[in-house]
Amino acid sequence: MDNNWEIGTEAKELDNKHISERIRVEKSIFKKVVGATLIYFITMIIFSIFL
Amino acid sequence: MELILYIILLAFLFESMDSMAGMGFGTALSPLLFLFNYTPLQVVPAILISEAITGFIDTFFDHEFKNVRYSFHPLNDATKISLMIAFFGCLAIFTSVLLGYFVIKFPDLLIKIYVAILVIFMGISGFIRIKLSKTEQSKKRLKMLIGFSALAGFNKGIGGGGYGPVITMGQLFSGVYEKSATAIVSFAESIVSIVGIITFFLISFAGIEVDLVLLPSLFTGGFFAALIAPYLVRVLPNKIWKYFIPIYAIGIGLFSLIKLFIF
Repeated sequence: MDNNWEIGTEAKELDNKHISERIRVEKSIFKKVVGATLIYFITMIIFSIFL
Repeated sequence: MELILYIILLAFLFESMDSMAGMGFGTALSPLLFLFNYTPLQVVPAILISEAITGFIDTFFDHEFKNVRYSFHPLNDATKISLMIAFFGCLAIFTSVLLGYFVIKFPDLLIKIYVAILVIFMGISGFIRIKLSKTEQSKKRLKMLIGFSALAGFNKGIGGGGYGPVITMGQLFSGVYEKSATAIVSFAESIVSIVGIITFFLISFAGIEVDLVLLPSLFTGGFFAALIAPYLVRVLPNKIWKYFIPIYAIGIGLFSLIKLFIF
C-alpha cells in the first residue's frame, strides 16, 4: 500500500502554478454555477410553498 | 416565507468560514442565533437542512475546482475517508438521541470545557506541526485519522460539539492536504446533517413542533457562500490555509469557552 495519501495531489499541482493559472477556470464551470443557481431558486420556491 | 437580511449575512459569513476552514457553522452560528432569542427548535433543524443542501453544493464545487477529487467507482481515498468521518458523525447523532431517550446526563459544563480546551490544544499543536514538519506532510496515517474521527463523534455524541474542528485538525495531523481536508469535512457534514434532519422529523412525529422560520435566510446565505468559498480555497495558496485553520480552531475553542461563562 502506498505510504502517501492520493488526496490533494491535483490541488498541490495547482498550488505550484502561478496564481493566474488558479484564477482561470474552465468554461464548463459557468454552466454548473448557473445550474446550481437554478437549484437555489427551485429550492426557494419549494420553501415558499411549504413554509 | 420571510427573508431576514442579518441572518442571510451571518449565514454567508459563517458558511464561508466553515467551508474554508472546515469548522464553525454549528459551533459559532448557533449561539449567536440563540442570542437573538431564537429557540433551539428554530435554530438546529434549520441549520441542519441548510447545511445538508449547501454541503453538497460545496462538495460539488470543491471537486470541480480540484481542491479534492472524489471517485465512487472505484472508491478513492478522499471518498473513503469522507464516508468514514460521516459514519462516526451519524453514530454520534444516534448516541446523543439514545442518551437523551434514556435521560443519561453527563455534566454539561465539564464536557463543553473539555471539548473547548481540546480544540484550542489541537489548534496550538497545528502550529507546532507546521514548525516541526517541513516534509512528510502527506504521509498516510490512517489509524490516527480513524482515532480522531471516533473522538470527534464521541465528543458530539455526549453533547460537547466540536465535530468540525476535531475532524479538520485530525486530518491535518494525519497528513491530509489542508485544501482537501476542509473540503472532505463539508462532504461528511452534509451526510451527517441528513441523518440529523431525519432525527428531527422523527422527533416532530412524536409531537414536538419544529419551526423552520430561519431556513430560507440561512439557506440563502449558506448557498452563495458554498459557491464562492471553494473558488477562494482554490485561488489562495495552501500556505494561507495552513495557518488560517489552526488560528480559526483556536478562535472557535476560545469562543466556546467564553460562551460558557458569559452567556
